[in-house]
Amino acid sequence: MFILTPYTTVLVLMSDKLKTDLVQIDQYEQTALEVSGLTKSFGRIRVLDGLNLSIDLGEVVSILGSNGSGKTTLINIISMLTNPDYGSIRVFGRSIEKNPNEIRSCIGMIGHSPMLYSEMTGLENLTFFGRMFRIDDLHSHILKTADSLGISNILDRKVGSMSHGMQKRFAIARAILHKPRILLMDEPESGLDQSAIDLLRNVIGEYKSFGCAILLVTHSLDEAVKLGDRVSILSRGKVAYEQSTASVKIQELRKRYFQYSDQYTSVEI
Amino acid sequence: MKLLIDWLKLNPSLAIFWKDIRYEVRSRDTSVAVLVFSLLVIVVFNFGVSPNPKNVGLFAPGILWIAFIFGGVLGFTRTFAIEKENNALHGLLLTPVGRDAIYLGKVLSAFTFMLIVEIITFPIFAVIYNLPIASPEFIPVALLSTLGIAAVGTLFSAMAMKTKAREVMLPLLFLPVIVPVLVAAIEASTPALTGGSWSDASIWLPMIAVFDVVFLIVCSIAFTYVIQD
Repeated sequence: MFILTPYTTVLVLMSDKLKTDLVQIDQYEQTALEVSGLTKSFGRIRVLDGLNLSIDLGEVVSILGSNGSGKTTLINIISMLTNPDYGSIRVFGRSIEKNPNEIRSCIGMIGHSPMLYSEMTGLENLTFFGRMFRIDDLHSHILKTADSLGISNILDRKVGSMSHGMQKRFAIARAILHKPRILLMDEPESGLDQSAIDLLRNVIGEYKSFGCAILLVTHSLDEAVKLGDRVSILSRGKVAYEQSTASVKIQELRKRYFQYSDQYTSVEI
Repeated sequence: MKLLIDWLKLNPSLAIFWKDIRYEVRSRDTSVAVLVFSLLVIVVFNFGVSPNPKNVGLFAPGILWIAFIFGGVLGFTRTFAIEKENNALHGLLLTPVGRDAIYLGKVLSAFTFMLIVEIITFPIFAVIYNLPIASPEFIPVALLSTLGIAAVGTLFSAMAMKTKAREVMLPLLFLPVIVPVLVAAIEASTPALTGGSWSDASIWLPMIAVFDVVFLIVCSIAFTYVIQD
């Protein structure tokens, strides 16, 4: 059985495989993420239509857009949960199609749902996902991460018995446990109380100061401007508006947001 | 030795396997249902065919494997259901682990669950149908056949998970494909259960092994495409 599949064949040569899988990308390029010509349709609805986007290291890009504008689809495609129809994504200059596992190891994602096992405790969840990322000294790493998110006292509670806000904190812990160089956040503030939102801001600030790239999808214009270096509005499957947060005025951004939200957000083909 | 321990700790397939075992031990919602259902099938068939010493050898192996397969179908509907809760599957797919390793971990847990159900079911079946409880020849047949069933069931469980009517879709997809293994398992079990010549069973065993190899390779490749959105 252990010589049947490509992966299991490698298990026989396990020590070499473990080492190569643990190799991180050493030579980081300035451009962390480069998306070009990204197109995705669901049936006759074209959600993304030749979208281009790039994020540098140490940069936070906030993505705004009305419901159905393709924000979640964009994040799902970058994190390799969904295949695009056309277009390419390069992470640190490397194609995600050619190096999927290497790239997965340097991406963290916080989605709408917690992506955790409800019958397992918080600690068991984090231990499981930590093992999947082959994190060294996992237990102390989990404790440190849990401490920074204010969940160290509920690590032994089942995730299913936690409030939505607490589950979200564990979801954030899961996403940052392996210290990703690129953080994808899809409405991370939803369901969080004010103290958790402050913790989230700290996480974003910390990751930014470490030189990580962050793609933040949000519905809050204030958060987008406050946390982002650049703000982009998605409409009709493309980046319709892009501006540095240093130069944008919130009134102008609000006006643009509603202007693009009024248009049909996806294109029927 | 240290290398082996490190490997056991870090191997993603084993991590998935242990996670599933822990999950099931805690919830017990699948194993109890599968066990009860398999026993019910055996009991219902007992009333249906009225076995006697003359015809028991003809019916018993088929009834036993149908009970295992029906129980397996019930279990496979849950194989990926736990991954759907809270969208945990996406969390799993975000990890830098090959899809074939995820598949292998899932096959391993499905295989173990089925085997546990078979170990409990078989003695009860043997008592009801007046067959020998200790049948060492049946062990390789059960191991090889269960592996093939788990290999196919895991793939179709992942496929059915993406459909709305997964409880309906799974048996429709799974049962036709598993027929070769089912036929070979019944044929190989007949001499093992009725005291026939071992050489009769040994003809079928290599065939089941070949099915296992083919199913494991094909299903692990197909799983890579099935699991992606």
